[in-house]
Amino acid sequence: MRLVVVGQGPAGMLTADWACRLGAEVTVVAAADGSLGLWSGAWDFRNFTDSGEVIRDPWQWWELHGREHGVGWTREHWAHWWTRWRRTWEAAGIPLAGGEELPSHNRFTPTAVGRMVPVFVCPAWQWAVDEPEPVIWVGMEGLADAPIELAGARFRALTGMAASEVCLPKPDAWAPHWSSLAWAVYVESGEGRRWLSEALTRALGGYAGSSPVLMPQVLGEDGCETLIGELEAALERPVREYPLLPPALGGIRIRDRWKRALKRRGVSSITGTVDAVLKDGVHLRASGASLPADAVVLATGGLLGGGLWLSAAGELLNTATGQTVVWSGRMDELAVAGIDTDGTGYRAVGRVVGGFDSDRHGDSGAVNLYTVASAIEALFGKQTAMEGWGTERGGNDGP
Amino acid sequence: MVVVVGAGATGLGVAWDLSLRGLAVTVIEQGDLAHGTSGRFHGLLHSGARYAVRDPNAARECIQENRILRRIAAGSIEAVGGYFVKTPASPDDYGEGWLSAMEATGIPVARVSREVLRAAVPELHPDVEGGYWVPDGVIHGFPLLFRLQKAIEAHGGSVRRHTRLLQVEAGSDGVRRVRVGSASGAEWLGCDALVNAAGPWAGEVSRLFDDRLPMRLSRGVMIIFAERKLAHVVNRLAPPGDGDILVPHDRVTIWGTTDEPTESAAAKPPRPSETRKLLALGRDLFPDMENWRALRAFCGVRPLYQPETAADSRHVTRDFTVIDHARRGGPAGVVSVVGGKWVTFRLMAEKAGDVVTSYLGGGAPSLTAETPLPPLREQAAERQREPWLCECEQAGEWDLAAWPGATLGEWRTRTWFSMGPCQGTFCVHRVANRRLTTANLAEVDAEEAALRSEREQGMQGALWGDNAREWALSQSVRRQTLGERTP
Repeated sequence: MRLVVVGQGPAGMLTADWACRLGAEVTVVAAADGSLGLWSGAWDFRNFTDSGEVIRDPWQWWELHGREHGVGWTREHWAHWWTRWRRTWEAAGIPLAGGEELPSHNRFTPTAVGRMVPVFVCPAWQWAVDEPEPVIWVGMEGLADAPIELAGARFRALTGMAASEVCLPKPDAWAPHWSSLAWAVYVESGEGRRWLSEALTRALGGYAGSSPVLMPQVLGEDGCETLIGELEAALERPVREYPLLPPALGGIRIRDRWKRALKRRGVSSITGTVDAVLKDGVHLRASGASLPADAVVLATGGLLGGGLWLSAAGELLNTATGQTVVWSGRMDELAVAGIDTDGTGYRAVGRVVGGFDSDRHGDSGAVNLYTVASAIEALFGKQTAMEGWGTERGGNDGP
Repeated sequence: MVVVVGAGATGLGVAWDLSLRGLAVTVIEQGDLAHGTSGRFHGLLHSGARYAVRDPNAARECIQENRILRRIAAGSIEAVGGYFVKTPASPDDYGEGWLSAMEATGIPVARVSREVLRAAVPELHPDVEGGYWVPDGVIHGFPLLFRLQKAIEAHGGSVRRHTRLLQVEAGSDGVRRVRVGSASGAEWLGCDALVNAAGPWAGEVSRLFDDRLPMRLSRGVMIIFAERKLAHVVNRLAPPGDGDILVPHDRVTIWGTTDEPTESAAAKPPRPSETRKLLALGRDLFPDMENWRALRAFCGVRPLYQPETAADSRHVTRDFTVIDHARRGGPAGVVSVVGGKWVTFRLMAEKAGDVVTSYLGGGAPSLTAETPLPPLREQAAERQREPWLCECEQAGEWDLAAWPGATLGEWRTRTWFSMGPCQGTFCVHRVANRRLTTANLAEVDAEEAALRSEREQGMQGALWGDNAREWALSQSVRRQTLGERTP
């Protein structure tokens, strides 16, 4: 099967990965880098009820309420695909926090401003715990995106736990234009590693105990596991990151490692904009060429990803097909507007599929998982999709 | 002591005028500076050309004040010039009458060919038929008001914000004292004269001294585009109507406006149907306008005043009126100043100041036309080596430090942080961290929520194209990255 996946956010990459493992010849067409680099890389199952209460057991929530949201999967079905997803990331070299095969409940992870938010699975470099504990919150002079006083005050107010704020003086090399990415490159350099280790050791000299040290997410572009290992050895405390605003190193590391893994497995990648989905492929705007395919999956995202475009006249457009999307015209329904799978032309995956309000509910990981797995089941047949991983190329790391 | 109600352009102008005449003044303001109409206009420094035909008196005042403001408020004025553009839809007979009105009112005007016009403003529709140059300009309203405040305070006057007028006590000898209320409680202030410069709230204020003014409030909607799309002001050569002014305002461009009667002095956010209609009106002047990067939309309320009923608020004069309430059976020593334009605020203040001065028995003349306003801060100060807190508007610690103890909302209008394309998504948490040094967490959270909500309402008024995308990003960052539980 020749499959064209349009878009390379999390849903597009997951589709490409799984379709490739099931034997398809996959080409990813994307106009931009994809949305993974915007976020820290935490995958949510379901964090909040419709009325906004925190959910500790998302398994139970989907069992009780999934059908109200159009999802009829059983616990076993969810577990199958979560396991598959977890192994997919591990195979791409993305380490996950927590030793268990599948988490039984949501844990909590901090935001840059000190709120503790629920999370189902997140990368190993990010702090995630069952219950908050006292922490040392570290910021750097000259890194405006790590507002440690605000974070510490809020963390104490919300959790009742102690938090110490430690601000490292900026290194000599620092310049006013340094973004989090520039910090990461520096911290990973020989000079930066020495600076960080010395500055942290000096700053934490007066702190007894073994409270974890929470660092802003700038611990290297790619070598963060090594860096964290070195710091933990030097400080004799756990060291983890808290995520910053976009561009987010957590997502960038995941994106880059996953892309390399897909490339190793033979997934082709084209930069371009699709402006029509045809019966037998897609049409590319810039070259005017058509890319043949037996099947097309749209993972183009919603308004943010660029899969949807709201015109000045108030019309919502599917940018990959140019077709108008029907919606109520009400602003408060914009978040849940989306394009559905077209009976003949394409399948839609990820946030582009309407009806979910992932920002509000904290279920973006589940929405990706559900829509991608449903597309894979439809394209390959349910039995092959669930069991046919022996035919995949590039090594068998399926369950 | 003279008490002035309202810290918009008019109220601060009156206080500045009286301060220069040697009187002691206190300005009270229910919100922050520019809480009302002065903070909600298109930024046009009128040449008067727009009113030459229908409102020659207002037109003459505009050109006079236009010239004066360039002198006394240099630094807060962009002398960009403007064009009146004739389109195929412009009424054929309008241009001739307009030209003779321009001559009669003494507003400079120069004919420009279609070619010159299109070279000066390439964004214009290819079918425009030529037009006229006029000395329009741009007013940077907020900085100008802060300069007025600084000037008033330097002369010993005070500006009390977040303070409301509660009660006016007057006897046969005129106004005696006023009761004002703020978060710290209510108090009586001695008051020899009272000036009502409350803009759209002038009617409400006038009830407190039992001489109710018949205000005619009218709302005008404007759209801000995130880029400076042109170098000069563009007006439609036609009788004043909806959608006929485009103003390059510093780094953005403002398109306006509409005119709809309203009962509400507070400016309610624009409805999407209003902004879409306004946007569509731009087509025959700027064919690509719908594809420009919208930033937000907002609404201002014109405090028009016309005692006799007129059918359409476009026909209510843009001229101003100074009302000496003693002459209408109200209390002596109470003056209201209503109507007018931003550009004529100084003249309005001068005329109101004349009435107040004469009532108090003094003879000092107005000095505002000859007295330059002080600059906001010393230009020599160098920025320290530090990161931007707001990249869009390039605001950093250095800018915040000029306003110690300010709230997030006050820092917004004074440093311009959060006003750019991201509308605060990437900077509010950074500035909130600085605010925590002078406020507690609950206060910071409340200020942050108010600022976010205000930014979001403006974005939602112009929610199309890349601005809709930016809004979606903002929603995701707030909920996912920052963990906000927004309504």
